[in-house]
Amino acid sequence: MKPADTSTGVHANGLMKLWPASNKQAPRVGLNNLDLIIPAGKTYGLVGESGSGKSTLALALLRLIKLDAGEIWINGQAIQTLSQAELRAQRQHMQLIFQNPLAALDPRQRIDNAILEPLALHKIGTAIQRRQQLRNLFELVGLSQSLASRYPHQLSGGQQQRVMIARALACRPSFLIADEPVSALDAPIQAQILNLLRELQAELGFTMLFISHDLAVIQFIADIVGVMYQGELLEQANNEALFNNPCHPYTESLLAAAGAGMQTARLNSHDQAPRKTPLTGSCCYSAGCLRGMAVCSQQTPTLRYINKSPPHWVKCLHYEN
Amino acid sequence: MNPIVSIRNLSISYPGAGARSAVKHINMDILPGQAVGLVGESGCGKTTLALALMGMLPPGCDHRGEIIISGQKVDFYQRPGQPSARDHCAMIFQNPQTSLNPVISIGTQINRIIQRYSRLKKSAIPDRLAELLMLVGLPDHCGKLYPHELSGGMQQRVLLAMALAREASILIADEPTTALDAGTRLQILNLLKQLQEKQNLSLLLISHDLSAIARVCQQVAIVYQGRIVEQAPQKLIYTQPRHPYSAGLLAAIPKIHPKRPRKLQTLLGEANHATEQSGCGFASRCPRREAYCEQQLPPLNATLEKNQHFACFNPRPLPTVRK
Repeated sequence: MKPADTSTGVHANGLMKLWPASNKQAPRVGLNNLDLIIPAGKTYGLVGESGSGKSTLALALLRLIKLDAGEIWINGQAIQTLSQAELRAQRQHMQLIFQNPLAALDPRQRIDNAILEPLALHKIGTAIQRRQQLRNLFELVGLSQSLASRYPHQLSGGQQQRVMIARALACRPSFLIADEPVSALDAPIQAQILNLLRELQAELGFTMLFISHDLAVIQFIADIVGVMYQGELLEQANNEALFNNPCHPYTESLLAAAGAGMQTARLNSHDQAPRKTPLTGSCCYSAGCLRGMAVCSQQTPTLRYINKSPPHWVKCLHYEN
Repeated sequence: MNPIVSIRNLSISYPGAGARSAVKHINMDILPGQAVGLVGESGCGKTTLALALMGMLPPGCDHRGEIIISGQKVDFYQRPGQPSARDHCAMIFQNPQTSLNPVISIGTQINRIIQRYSRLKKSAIPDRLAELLMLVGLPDHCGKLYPHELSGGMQQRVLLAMALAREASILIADEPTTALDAGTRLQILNLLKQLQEKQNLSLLLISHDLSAIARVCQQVAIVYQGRIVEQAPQKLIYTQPRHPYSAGLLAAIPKIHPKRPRKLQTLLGEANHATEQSGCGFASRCPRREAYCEQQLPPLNATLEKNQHFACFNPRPLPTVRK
């Protein structure tokens, strides 16, 4: 999976991040040799349980944490090698939406100022142009102009998340990361925000990395889906291919759990999952796998094509040889 | 069977200039051993109801109606030396970390509750602690740990153990899984279900998440703007919701479709909890709205089967039976 042309979209190669642990314990794995390609203008849906490294990947792509190894290109820019000043200039092209909008907004800043702040920081446009842009942004995300002088706590959760989206889109970024943007919202509002994000992407054409633990949300929003587990991508395919033909045992169990819906379902949980370092020459999922073989604890699988069109990658020893 | 908790015509409003009711004319019964779910969007008054049950309303609230627990009318405010609702109820909250004392081991915290509320001899307390930990699925050595050494799911289990130690007649769980991730959420819900069945626990589960409620509860009440808009057995709510709001909430739950959908179904707009309407509060968002909906308040009616109540003039039709 060598990136052929890195001039458009998002490319990441061999990302590695170990979180140091206390008490002389072995470091915990954040990202383990992860490769990723998001074609320009597409939405990449990243799914996995908490602790699987989804947010670590988001932070790493924006260079908000220091990686141990790996290279990242966003629209042809090698992010890892930028100087601080270049990185700051690059930031306007890559933006992030967080899970909890109330925690992400300054409680003492009016929302019109919150939305305009990135434009001011990057010195985009004159004051009058920015005011005009603000009106456009309010309209774009479906907020009433009358809310402009409110403070975050005076808005509902859905309105707050719309503010966060407007703020992220203010600089017209080419790459947007949405880290669990709807999981704190009620179901009807969640659906409204998801519809909005998909409409906005169709209209503005940005590339998006959408992170969620909810497979149903991912199915709606994503063009390409990646399934993450303990810092590794276990499966990656087009939306239809992944949901209709899941190949990795972990994806199968995730889909079974989600499909069972109202019934109880077996799900590998973070609560009991062994937080071991999977650098020991075995498959990272071998402990919980229902289709495990003897070889799974002796050999590390690689992420490989099992189907060229539609492209489908799986990291499982069942599909090797 | 006599209900263990009976809420009669309860209205509560918070003090302040724009005084509005958070809870309006709520009637509700919880039978012994029954799990009742209370569903609604944030700000609809779910938590206010729970706080009223616990006698934990902030001072100065205006309240009408009554709450009867185990045949005894309870006070809305806890007063020293007076019997109150809190003698009968245990409650667990959304964020377990803020409910636990960070500087005391969890074994000690649970022990204190056992000492206070059960009539066990001192020598029997360690056994009871071990039993409680086992019931909630925690290993024995957890008693020695401090809250920060546990994951969110384990902390919620500790709170459940403390609630069980209370030997209360009813457990109120206010959004117990909202702060947890998907896998842990499932486990805690399954545990609640299991405890409710095995220990014959009466449970009031409050959540904005309909699928969580479906997993645990036998009876479901859907709340909108402080009023119950539909109340029915779990199965009926899910298979044939009559109130358009219940149907809208159900439709908005993300589901995996056979084919990727183009647009998600949802309710338009947002709930307006701030203003008082003369008619049906849901009228402005309702797809089945008629002119009279905005003038008159629909009462909570029973259907012919008598067990599905809904407050709507123009309810969704019952699904036609195919022959």
